[in-house]
This record gives sequence, C-alpha cells and structure tokens, in this order.
Amino acid sequence: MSTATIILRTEMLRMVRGRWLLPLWLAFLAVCGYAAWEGAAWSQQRGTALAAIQDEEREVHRMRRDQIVNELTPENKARYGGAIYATAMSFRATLPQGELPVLTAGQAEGYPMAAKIFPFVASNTIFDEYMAGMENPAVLAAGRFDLAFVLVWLLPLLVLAGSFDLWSFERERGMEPWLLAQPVSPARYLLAKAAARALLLVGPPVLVLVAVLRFTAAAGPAALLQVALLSALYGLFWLGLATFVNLFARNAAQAALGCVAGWLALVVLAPALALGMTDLFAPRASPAERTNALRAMAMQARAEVRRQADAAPPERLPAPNIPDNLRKRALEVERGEQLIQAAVQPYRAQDERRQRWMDLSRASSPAIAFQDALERLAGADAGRALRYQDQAHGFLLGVRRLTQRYLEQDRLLTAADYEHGMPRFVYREAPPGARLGALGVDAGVMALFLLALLALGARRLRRQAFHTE
Amino acid sequence: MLRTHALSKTFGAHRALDSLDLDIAPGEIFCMLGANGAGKTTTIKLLLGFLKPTAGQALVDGIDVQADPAGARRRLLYLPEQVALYGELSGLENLRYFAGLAGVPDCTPQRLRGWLGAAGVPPAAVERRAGDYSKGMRQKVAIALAIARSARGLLLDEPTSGLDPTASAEFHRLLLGQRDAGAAVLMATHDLFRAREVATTIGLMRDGRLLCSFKAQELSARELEQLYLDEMSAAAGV
Repeated sequence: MSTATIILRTEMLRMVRGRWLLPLWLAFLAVCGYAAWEGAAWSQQRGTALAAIQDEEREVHRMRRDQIVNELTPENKARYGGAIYATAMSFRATLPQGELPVLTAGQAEGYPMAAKIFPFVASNTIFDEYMAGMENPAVLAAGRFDLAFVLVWLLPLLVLAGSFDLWSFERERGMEPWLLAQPVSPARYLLAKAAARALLLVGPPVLVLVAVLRFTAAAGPAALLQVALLSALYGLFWLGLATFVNLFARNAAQAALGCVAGWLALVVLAPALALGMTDLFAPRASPAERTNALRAMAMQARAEVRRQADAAPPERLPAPNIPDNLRKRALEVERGEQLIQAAVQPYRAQDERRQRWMDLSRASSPAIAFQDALERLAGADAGRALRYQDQAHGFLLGVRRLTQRYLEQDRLLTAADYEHGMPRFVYREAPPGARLGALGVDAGVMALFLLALLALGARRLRRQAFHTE
Repeated sequence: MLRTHALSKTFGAHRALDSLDLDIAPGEIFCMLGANGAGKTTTIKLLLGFLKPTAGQALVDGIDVQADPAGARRRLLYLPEQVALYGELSGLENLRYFAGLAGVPDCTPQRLRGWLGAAGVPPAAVERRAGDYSKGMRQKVAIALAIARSARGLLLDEPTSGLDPTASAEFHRLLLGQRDAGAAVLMATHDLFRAREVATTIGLMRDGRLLCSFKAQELSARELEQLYLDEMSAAAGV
C-alpha cells in the first residue's frame, strides 16, 4: 500500500471517529432539503403562473373563435372588432422554466417571465403587466434560501469547518516534526490529507445535492452531472484554500481566521465589489428615466402622425372591411417603433456594456462563477432572460408584419385563422454548445483559482514552509 | 552511521552551530550535553534535513541529508521531547500508521502487538485510544516504531524530559536494546546521570561548538557533573 493511501485511510478513519462528520452531513442534508423544498415551491408557483398566462391566451382565442362562429353576422360585425380585425390579435409570450428551476430563482425575478403582445402595443411596454408586484420586495432584497445559496455560501463553510486545521493542528500540538521525520514528503502529506477531506467533505454533499435534485426536479442525467461536477469543483477550490492557508498558519486559530477571511472576501465581499465596479464603470440607467424617454417618443410619434393625418385623404366611404382609422393607427405605431428603436439604442448599448462587465466579474471570484453556473443550469440567468426579451420583441414585429398583410388585403380574421393560422410564441433556447461554453468558462474560473492556489502552495513548499526553526 | 563534516548553521547574525564534526558508529550512543541554545537541537534538525546547513555536510549511512532527505529519514527514527500520537487512534493503529509510512512490510496485528510488547506497552493498552496515553507510554510507542523499522539511526531530543524515574529507567533500558541491535544513537539531553549511564560517548556543547567529547566511562558521575558545571559557568561568564 502506498504511503498516500495509508495517510488517506488513516485521515478518513480519524475524521469519522472525530464524531463531527455525521452531524455536519446531516446539517447539510437538512438545509439542502429545506432549500430544495423552497425552490420546488417557488418553481411550482411560477409554473402555475406561466400555465395560467398560456391558458389565458388560449381562452381569448377560443372565445373569439366562438364569437365568429356563433354570434357574428354581417350586420353586427362592428361590435366584434376584437375578434375579426387582425389589429386586435392578442398573444402571450412566456419564458418557460429551465431544466433545474429548483436550484435557484437567480435573476429570474428581476426580469419579466411573460409578455402581452398586440400588434399596436408599443414594444417597450409588452412586459409591463408582468413586471410589477411579481415578488415580495423583502425577498428580493434579502435573497432566497435556495440551493444556490446553500451551495455558494454554506458548502464552503462546511468544507472549511472540516479542513481549516488540516495541518495547523499537527503544528499546534507538536506533531509536525514527528510527522516530517518520517520518510514522506510534506506535499504528499498535504495532498493525501486533502484527498481524505475531499472524499468526506466534498463527496457526500455533492451526492446529497444530486439526490435532492433527483427527487425535486425533473432533470436529465446530463444536467445532474453538470451540477455535481461544478459543485465538486467549487468544493475542491475551498479545500485548496484551506490547504493553502495551512501552509502559513502557525496554529489552528490562525488557520481558522485565514479561512474565514478567505470566505468573507470571496463569497461576501467579492460579489459586492464586482457589482460596485460594474455600477461604477457601466452604470444602469434608471428604469423610470428609460420608461419616460420611451413614452415621450411614443407620444411624439402619435403627434407627428396626427399632423400628417390632417393632410391625408379622408377616410373612404363606404368603409372597407377594416376601417381606415386602423391603418392610420398602424402608421402611427410604425413611426413610433422607429422612434422607440432609436431611443432604445443608447440604453441597449448601455445594457450590453453592463452585461460585458457582469460577465467579466465572474473572473473575480469562484463564488460568482459558481453562482453564475447555477443560474445558467436553473435557466434563471440574465442572458436567458434577455434572450427571451429579444425573442418576444421579434415575435411582436412578426405579429405586426402579419397584421400589415391583413390590412393590405383588407381581410378579416376567420374561425379557421383562430383554429390553425395564429402564430404562437415558442422560446428558443440558446444552442447547447453556447450553454456548455458558458458553463465551461465558469468551471475554468474555479479551476484557475484552484490551480493558482496549488501553484502558490507548491512555491511555498519549495521555500520550506515546513521549517521547524 | 551518523556523520557531520564542519556542519554549521547561522540564523541571521547568530551562529547556532559552528563547524561540528561528528561520527557516530552503529552500536554507539552519543549524548550531547549543553545548556539551552548550545546547538543540540539544531544538530538533530540538520541531520533530519529540517534545516539547510549554512556550511558543511550531514550524512546518514553515507547519504547526504540535503541531497536525499527522504532516503536519510528512511534510516532514521526521531524522538522529539513530546512524541505526539493521534488521539483518536489506538496505540496499535498509530504504530500501524507510522510503520506503514516508513514502508515496514507485513504490519499484521500480531506483529504490531509484538513490537509494542517489546517496547513495554502493556497488552491492555494496545487497543486503547492514544489520547489517553501518558508521555512515557507515547515514548514506548515510538520505541516500538524504532523496533519495527529496525532504524539504523536514532535521533533523540530530550526524550526523558518530564518522565518519572521509573519510566525514564525503562526508556533507557529500551534504548540500550536498540544500541545492542546495532543502532547509532544521538541523544540531546540535560540528564547527566542517565547520559553517563547509557552513553558510549559524551560531548559537551556550548554556543554551537562541540567543546570536548570523551568516553562515558572515563569520568565518574561527580567528575562529569563538575566538568559540565565548569563549562556552563564559563559560558555564563562566571
């Protein structure tokens, strides 16, 4: 049996006999279970809300079809404009939940999950109805007790609690020279001790996590494997940090202080600092300012078109199937859209700049990278939300083009249109390669931090960290 | 077996060891006497490769300690003043662990019990948690390790400090057993009486220098004490 195996086995035996391991595992299981239950409840609520919105769309279409079939006559058609004019078509565009929504609410609550789309609605207002009052502000301010919180914040504490004195304890009680006098290199001691902790402090929590997800989410094996690998990598980083701190600490108290300082810096302070830097270099425009600017543009468009309408030919008589005032409204909307798009450009550039900064900030801490990865796995990341917004806007433009065709052909909607011909919004996920690439970047950040610790640790070892002078 | 050539070590401006020449043959016990800071522990740390010498060379069984510290340690057993064992493990498990690290083959429970018995660990204590062991008992586990490893060199740093007279006597009996088995022993101690009793050679150290060395039996206990006190007084400038 190799010396590494002997150290590993003995360390595991010592840890098990230490009587603190089982309570630690059970505590983690309890918080994981609670967080998963919370996440499942949130996900179920959201799923119910999304289903209700989709039902609403189907119900509107059904009612309008029934009106056309059962109630519409050539004499009373003016009363049924909503059912027969393409300009009054009504759609809902919803963002479906990701594969592992129980992992984290992430940024999902900061972005709309649904849009109400009519051909003449201003593109900047399609999400308004689903933006306000979506969530308790106290929850938004304090964050959720979700699995991402457990993993990003508490998993490091679990790993550090079991490994902060990995070597400093030996040093503190005078065991270091006795151990180093054996024909085993310090690096081998450290690696074997760290490996034992990886097996008992990182392995079981990852298994607990996978088991909990297996019971609370309908995720495929690939998604579970990704969560497991990323969580293991994150846990290993913290184990690496504890090992690194132990190369410097002269006693367990110093090591504990170093580990807690590392946790505070990387988990608590780094995200706040990264956000502060982002706010400094890529500030977000006030939503109120943005809304006001866009509304002003819409009003300007309306005024312009009305001025032009004075010079336009009078409405035709007898009126065509679709009255001319709806065509005027279509022109107004088109002009309004041009102005809105022009007004949106600076905000969009600002958003993109901010997004780049946020992406960059992932590299500032493994905790941020891991949170980002979990949000991507949960489908609650900002990138997915923005992609959905783009697609909803694209859907609105498609609906307008369709409406334009109806206007040009002066064609009314029919029951057949409601039965088969209506477009339907379907969210298109980013290509799997793009998602894997983003997860790869997050994993790469964590791996780089770990490698940096290993490299610095090796340097410290070469400089005789294990002196006994 | 244990040799040093002009071995020196300085810490900043302080010369902890000054050109030490030693040659301890198998079956020899060399006791280093000297006040605190005389250079005894520094010598042991240099032989273990814990410190880099400023000048000179330390050799264990012909192996340059600096060039191959693991090779040197494979031939050595080090007994610090406080032998620390893992309190969660029994004496037997501790011995199995350290013997395993040293590459001792066939660490079966019977053999481990045999080594512990030979070192004077009572059978009833073998399975007890080492956290409950006295200092003397921990020293015995260390001696059991020396027996298990058939260590060719023993480096002992104040091994009997804090032991009661009975435990100290038993420890020295075990040490003589190791000497008879052919081990070369370097022991740093303040215990003049025990040093004269077990040592083959005694060396007096002061300010990092080996002042003199002589066969233990050449001096009576009283003469040794007088010589030691004279040297220490000189060191203190009395």
